[in-house]
Amino acid sequence: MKLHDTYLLPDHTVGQNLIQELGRLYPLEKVSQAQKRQTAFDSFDWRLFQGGYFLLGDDARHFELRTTGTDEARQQARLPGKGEPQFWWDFPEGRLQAQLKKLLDVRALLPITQTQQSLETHNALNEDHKTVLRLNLEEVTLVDNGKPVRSLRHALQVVTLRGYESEAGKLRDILDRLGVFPESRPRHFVMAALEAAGKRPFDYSSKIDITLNPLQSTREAARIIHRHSLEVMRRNEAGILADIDSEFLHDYRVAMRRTRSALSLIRGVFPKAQTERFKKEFSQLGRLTNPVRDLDVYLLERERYRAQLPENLRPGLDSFFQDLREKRVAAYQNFVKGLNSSHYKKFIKRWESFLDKDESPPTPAATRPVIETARRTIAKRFERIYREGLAINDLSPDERLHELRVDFKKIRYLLEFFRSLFPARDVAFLVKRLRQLQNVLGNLNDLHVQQLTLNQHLSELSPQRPDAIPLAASLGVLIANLQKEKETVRTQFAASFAELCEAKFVQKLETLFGSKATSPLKPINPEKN
Amino acid sequence: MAKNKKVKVLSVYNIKGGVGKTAAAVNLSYLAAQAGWRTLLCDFDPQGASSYYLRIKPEDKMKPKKLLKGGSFAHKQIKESDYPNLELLPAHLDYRHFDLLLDKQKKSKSRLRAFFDGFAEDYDLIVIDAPPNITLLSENIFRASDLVLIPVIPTTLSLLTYAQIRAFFDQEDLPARRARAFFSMVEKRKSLHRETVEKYLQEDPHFFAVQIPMASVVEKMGPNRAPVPSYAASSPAARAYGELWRETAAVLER
Repeated sequence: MKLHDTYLLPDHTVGQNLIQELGRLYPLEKVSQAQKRQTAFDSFDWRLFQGGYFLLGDDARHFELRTTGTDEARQQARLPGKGEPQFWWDFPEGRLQAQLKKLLDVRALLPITQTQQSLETHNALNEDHKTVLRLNLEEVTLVDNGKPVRSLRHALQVVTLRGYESEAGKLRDILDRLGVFPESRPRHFVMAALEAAGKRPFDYSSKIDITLNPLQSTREAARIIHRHSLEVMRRNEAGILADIDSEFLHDYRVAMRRTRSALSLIRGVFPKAQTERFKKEFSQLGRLTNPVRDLDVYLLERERYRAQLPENLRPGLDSFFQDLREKRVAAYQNFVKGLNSSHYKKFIKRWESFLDKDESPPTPAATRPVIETARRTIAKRFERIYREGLAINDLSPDERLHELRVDFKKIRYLLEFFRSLFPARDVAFLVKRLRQLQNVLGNLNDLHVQQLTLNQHLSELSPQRPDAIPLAASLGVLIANLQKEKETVRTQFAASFAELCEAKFVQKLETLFGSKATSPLKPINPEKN
Repeated sequence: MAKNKKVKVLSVYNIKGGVGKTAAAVNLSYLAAQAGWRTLLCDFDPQGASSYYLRIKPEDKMKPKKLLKGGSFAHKQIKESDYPNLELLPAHLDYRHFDLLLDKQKKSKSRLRAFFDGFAEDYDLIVIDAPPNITLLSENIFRASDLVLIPVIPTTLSLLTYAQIRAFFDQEDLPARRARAFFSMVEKRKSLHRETVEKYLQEDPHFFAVQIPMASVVEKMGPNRAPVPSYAASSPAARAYGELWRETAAVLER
């Protein structure tokens, strides 16, 4: 509940005159004059801002998380060492680290603004020499490429100390009489710096945010969906090339998969030959990204793996991860070569101009209002899921569940593409229910893939290596653990699937997409009809 | 956010006075605040030495009964110190009526925890400079605390009172691990001090490893009216308090 009033001033001289004036009426002691550079940070997708925060660090390596709305300081810490922090684990253990971990997860921090703040602090003291009020004369300048470029504000801050409110009140009255009034809604200068630098918070999100008109043609809607995914891919290229964190590639891949799904799920809107060609090229691109992503997933799980092993087997794991890191360097370089190739650039350009310029004769599927296509396509996918899901039992091979996982993903994409065509609450309800099952299937798939990779690593292991024995031992423990985990997850599947067969969910599907969506359920429960 | 995390309560206590209790409470509060914990120091010792060190005077109209109810009256008594993240609930002579008050209330032995939980949104840590006696208030403080820190001078009498506190915890079924001790006002040149410290550090697992030395920089807290690390950061005493805070934080964060 720290209160401070900010009085914006036209320039520095006015501020100094004001302090002098106040000093005549109130005992003031100048305590410090300081200049510091600050850098504000957030992740590429504004995760701190989403949580209502930003991180501010200064050249004394003091970092604090501040709220964007009310401008209050929250968790803080001093960072040891040198260099800018990138991830939550670069911060010393403590509350700031814990909060950053929660907000950022695996995303890296990027500088969003740089500023220089000159601060002249005057304390008002009582007869015990206790500070009862602080006055800060502040000048903030926007910094670009290390150079101050433009003054953002001059201000006088009156900082009220808790329990000494009456002193601040007296001072405010004096300022009132001098005709100076505080800013009505306090705003941190970082907000002004963002504006001055032309940056907009939330200008990137990996979520699909498109609004479709129910009556527009399916082809037009498909173009909007594709352009959105293309934009997401392009926005992530720079971050991939700079290898900032794993999520640039992740978002890029999601956008690419959405494109492939939209191409195959929203049928007949573009000429067949071209659709097939683009599908093929996107899937080649996808294959190029797979090795890097698979290795990223492992490297991110390192701590979890370590925790599963007894102390004496951990060195074996370390050499496993060293191998992985080396593999990743090679895989990453290979992918970057692809991303920089003229082949890739031409392909993206071709796709872009196809979306803008294709004027092939419209087919009935292309001219159909998108709301009809949405209902029909989603109903068909649900029908398939129910048919496949009901046929799965304890003895079904893992592969069947993996196929089902892919089907679920497709539904998820369709609901995201067409979200704006249905009541938001209904879509949210469906997505929430589906997520549970998706998580179960996703976990199962992760475990399966991890098991395969560990097995492969084990079979490729040369017995001549000096660390072969500890490495094999630690891999063995992990493979056994994965098997146990997999069995637990499979038992969760049946329960989660049963929830999708409950009346409330089924009825919602029928109202939104028609009764075809749930038709496989009917012969099993004939009395329900 | 810290909101959903329960506020930690640390009390510094000894039946005996003059063992460096208040110095520890003030320096630990200061170090916690520096480490980013939003800290409230409650000066429940009617002598008011903690308040004095922070140059803070109480409000004139203290009403213990109203204070104990929590809410806005309690919040209004709090004063901000000169140091970031550190606030104080000043001492008041009327706190000596706490015992009578608590006695009349339901759950008289655990009433205080609810009072502290009322501050959970504003603070990460509440440090209590506890009054030096065994009363209903001290028992309340024990029950409300996540950790009770006992400063012990390595002398026979001081260790006797330490044993009394241990016996009290036992008798009242308070968890033994909740009370931890550390050696205070240690004079290395005295062989009795050295031997006692050595013996206890080996035999009693409830003792922290750190030893706070007897030092003039600590005594200067009086004339300076400030925490030791704020004016003598690199002195051995300040470093010892730093170590004490690290050991304390490790227990609180467990």
